[in-house]
Amino acid sequence: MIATTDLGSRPFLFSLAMLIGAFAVQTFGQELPAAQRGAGELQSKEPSAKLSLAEARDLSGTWMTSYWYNGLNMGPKGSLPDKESPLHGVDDPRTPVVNLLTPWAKEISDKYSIYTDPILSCYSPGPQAYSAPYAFEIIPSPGRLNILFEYFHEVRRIHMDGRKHPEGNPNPSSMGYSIGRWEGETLVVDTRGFKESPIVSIPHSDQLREIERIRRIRDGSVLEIEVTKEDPKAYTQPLRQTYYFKKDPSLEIVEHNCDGMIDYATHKPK
Amino acid sequence: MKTKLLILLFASWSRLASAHHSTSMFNMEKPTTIEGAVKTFEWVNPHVYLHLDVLNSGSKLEEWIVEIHSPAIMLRRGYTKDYFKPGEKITVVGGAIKDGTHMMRLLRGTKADGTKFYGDDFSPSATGAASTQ
Repeated sequence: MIATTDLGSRPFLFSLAMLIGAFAVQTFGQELPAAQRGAGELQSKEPSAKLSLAEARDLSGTWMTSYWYNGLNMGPKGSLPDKESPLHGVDDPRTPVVNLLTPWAKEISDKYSIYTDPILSCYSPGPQAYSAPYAFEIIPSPGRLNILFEYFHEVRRIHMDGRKHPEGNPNPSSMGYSIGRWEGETLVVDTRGFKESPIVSIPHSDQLREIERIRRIRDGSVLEIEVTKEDPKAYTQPLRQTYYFKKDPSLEIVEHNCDGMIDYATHKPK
Repeated sequence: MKTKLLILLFASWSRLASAHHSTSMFNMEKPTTIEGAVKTFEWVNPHVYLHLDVLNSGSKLEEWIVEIHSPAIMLRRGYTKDYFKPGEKITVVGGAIKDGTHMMRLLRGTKADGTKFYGDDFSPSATGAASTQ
């Protein structure tokens, strides 16, 4: 039997868990280190969809930023989550993320202006490929889940065959090296092996580690992706962001690349 | 109510606009209005561009570039590469680039026949933002 995270329907178990948790903290007098707290548990309060295990683990299909269907968050409130949570610190969610950058990351961020942000030179968005409002398609293949992003035609391969991450980050890359495993109806993806990224809004080092918790929620037609970023070289605490996507079999993924990017200073093609 | 609506409109617009890059290089808070004739409508990634011939205060023609969204987003809102015709007269409202050159990021616009485009939901039959100002 697969445990559900629908805490609302099990108030007794939830209360018991809270009591045990409170007791543990009081007894042992310490909390888990921030990094473990950040990556170790699902934070979302959304219940998982009530699906069979096989259905819950079928993530195949085309998924589009959910608020696209709510008139860009302007229409009547629908059944879809209408916005992603902004990127925030796990320990200090109200502190602007710029204040959670280490001096190393701040220096990178300060090195570029709004006119020289590497994203304007079509630098690979890497982990920012979930950027809205674009779609992606998940295609399973033996031992792998493949994500084909519309945004900049990025591709991710999530290894599901039980392998380990390569030792020592031998090939730092924009999208990193992803290994996935199932925890009940939640796909947990551990991505390491990134290269440094100077993108101004959120730079990262080659020490970045991303833990994603991916689940089907609501009636199964919404995908929730909770991303926790740990990068002791770049961030003073783990950062988190939650995205929502709606399954849309009719949506056609179209070409999105950087072929026609212009130089903002000269107005000429790059 | 109107103020609230506009704030919401801007909030939703700015969130989307940041999908590729920050719009902090544009004066989105102080929109500029220009009238001109379409020179070309450049349907390219990652942003489509309108090139407009605009008569300046000295009655001289100058070219403005109006950055819009990506073809993917435009297509899904009902636009195609043929939505604007060369020579067509339009009025556009947008955030002018802060370096003072002739470029802006589109907020909304109106065709000569009164058709509004690219308002609150970016659609070719725009409502909301385009009709409140």
